[in-house]
Amino acid sequence: MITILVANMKGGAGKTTIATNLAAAYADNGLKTTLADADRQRSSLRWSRTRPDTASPVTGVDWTKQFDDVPKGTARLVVDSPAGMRSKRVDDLVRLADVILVPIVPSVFDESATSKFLRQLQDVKPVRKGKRPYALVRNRVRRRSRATEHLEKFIDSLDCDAVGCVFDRAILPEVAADGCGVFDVGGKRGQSLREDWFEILDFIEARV
Amino acid sequence: MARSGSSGRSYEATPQDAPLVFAIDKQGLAKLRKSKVMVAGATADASIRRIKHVYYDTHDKRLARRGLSFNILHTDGRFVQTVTAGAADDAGATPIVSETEVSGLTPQMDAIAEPDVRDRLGFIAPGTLETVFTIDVQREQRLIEVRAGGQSSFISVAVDTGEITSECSGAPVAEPISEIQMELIKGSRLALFRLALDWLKAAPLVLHSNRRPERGLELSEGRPPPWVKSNVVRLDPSMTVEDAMSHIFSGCLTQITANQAAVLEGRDPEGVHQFRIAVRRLRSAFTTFGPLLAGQALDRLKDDARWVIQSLNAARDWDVFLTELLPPVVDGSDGASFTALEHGARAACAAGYDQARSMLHDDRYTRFMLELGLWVLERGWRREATAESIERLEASITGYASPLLSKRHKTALKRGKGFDEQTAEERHQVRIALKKLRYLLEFFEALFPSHKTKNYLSTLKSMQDDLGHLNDVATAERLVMALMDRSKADAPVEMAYASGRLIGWYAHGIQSSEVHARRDWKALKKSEPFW
Repeated sequence: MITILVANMKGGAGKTTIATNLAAAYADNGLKTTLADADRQRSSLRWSRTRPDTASPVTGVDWTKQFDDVPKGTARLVVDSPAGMRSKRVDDLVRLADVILVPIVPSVFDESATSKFLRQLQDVKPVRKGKRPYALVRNRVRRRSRATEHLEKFIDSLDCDAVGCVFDRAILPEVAADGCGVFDVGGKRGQSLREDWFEILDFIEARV
Repeated sequence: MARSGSSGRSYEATPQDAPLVFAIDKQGLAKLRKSKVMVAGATADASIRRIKHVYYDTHDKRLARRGLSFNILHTDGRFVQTVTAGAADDAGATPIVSETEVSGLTPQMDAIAEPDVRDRLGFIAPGTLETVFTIDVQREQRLIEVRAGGQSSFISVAVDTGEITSECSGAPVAEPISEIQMELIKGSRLALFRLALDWLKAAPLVLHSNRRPERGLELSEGRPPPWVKSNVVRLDPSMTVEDAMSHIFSGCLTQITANQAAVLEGRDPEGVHQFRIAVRRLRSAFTTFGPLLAGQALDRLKDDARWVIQSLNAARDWDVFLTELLPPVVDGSDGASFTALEHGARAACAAGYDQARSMLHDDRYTRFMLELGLWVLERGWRREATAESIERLEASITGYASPLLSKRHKTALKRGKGFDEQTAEERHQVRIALKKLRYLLEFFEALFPSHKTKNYLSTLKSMQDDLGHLNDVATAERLVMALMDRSKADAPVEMAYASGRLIGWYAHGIQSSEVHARRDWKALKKSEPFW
């Protein structure tokens, strides 16, 4: 089983979007997938429960109180972590994970919180020792906007991998409302939507 | 576990049911067809079909890194997709396999029914598996019946001609395949060897290994066939002398075969080095168990083994010269030119490798390896053994090992008496005695507590290294003299000067090596025999 933790102290960075779409990607690929929601808002959990029967199944588990057991035979566990996590919880979730993804949006308000979170990550011993690969994931990106250019400069200033470029598309919240992700969208449209995600998925697969 | 270079893979001893594989060229095949062997004993006409194997991976070669193999076989109008996790080189692990019929050469992930295989593959976006390499052959196959001693054995003989193709750094690469594979289907493995020896009479066969997928991957990455370091011989204290002996011989055979490709390819000196170590161990095993072995078969095998190793001496000598002896002298010299010397050495090395390659292509080598394999398989030493020998063969290996080790140890100490004042020739005898002791210890290592054997071997190795260094000057002299003799040198003065510098360098080095040697000899003398 491979555990992917999607985390950022800053709310609104799109953790749930990343987590749910990853889960949908794995499920659609034929891997038994569990989505664990550690956020009190339980958005991911609701999403998994809304998932239609026609879509590849994702099992949702509630991790707001404790990290329960995960269904047997799970191949991919995606963990949606809460914003404003206290240190102890960060530690625990990071230790559980095999790979950590830190979503970041093009917004100056996000930058210092993200920097702070990355420092917090580095404080966790396994991460410091290089045993927990992690990367920033660009989220809600608008092409050729100044905010996006600024984001790239910010990323360059950090000593951190950045993978993927999830563009800001109206379809994302639309499919999410139906308990789906871009990997559930068929046809040519689905194809082009999924391309945003391959770099992220490759990053995870290459490290485990 | 054996370690190998340049591919990081390991090899276990050849499994008992492994097919015999030979390379054969066009002329050889023509000869075979003219002779009767191809059809002798054939149970039916040959079946001829095309077999194409396409191997896939992700763009970042994740599957190979995870020890997975994903391929589609296309033959007889069918397509079979096979995913193997944990290939045969993982010690003890049973490979998990998924095998399904598919509709074409496009990988079908959803055709994989086994969840554990599917999980091992991980996330693979549809249509993203790429061809890494293709093995495409025409196979001419016959089932041959071999009768011996009233028993029938059935052997499948396949003649494969074709190629492995791939792409490396954007450019197409290919390696031809022209091979014969003999596989025992039913009956006695002895029949397999006998058939091979018969075929060898009709046409030249070169021993080969069955490693096409590994070769395909290597081609795609521009890597040469790897050399293979020997397994630690794992004897069991409960084994008989005979079992232990078989085990050791088989291990040597495996290591010799495993390093053939690296010797033929010739780029990495480790190939020749490891091949020679394997043959030396074989010869050492002949001596170790000598008193219990007898017969003409053994004499011929010993002769052949000596011929094999002598054919590699030049390659090894010049590899050592170019990689170990020459570089420190060049680095430490102030402007003196070693170009002529190096040039001569490289030419000599190339000639040495030519000699090594000729040996491997010689029928005598193939016959030697087959006869050795047969001899070990049928316990050929029993044929001419006395009742007393049989009894000793069936006794416990521990009872045999200890007295033999003591004897070799005693000889070594005796030869080294008055070490400090010995001549070079006397020291040479010590070196030989220590080598014999070392091989023996390596054979019997597993019979004793590991920390004791490791400590002793480490002390022994230090001493051997010292003697080796002391011998460098003699080696250097021998080699440069050979160069001076053979060269109608373009720069005789330069070469003579460089030679002098080289010899001088090592002659000077004797001083510090001498100090080490004397100290290490004392340490060795003090070391308690643990057997």
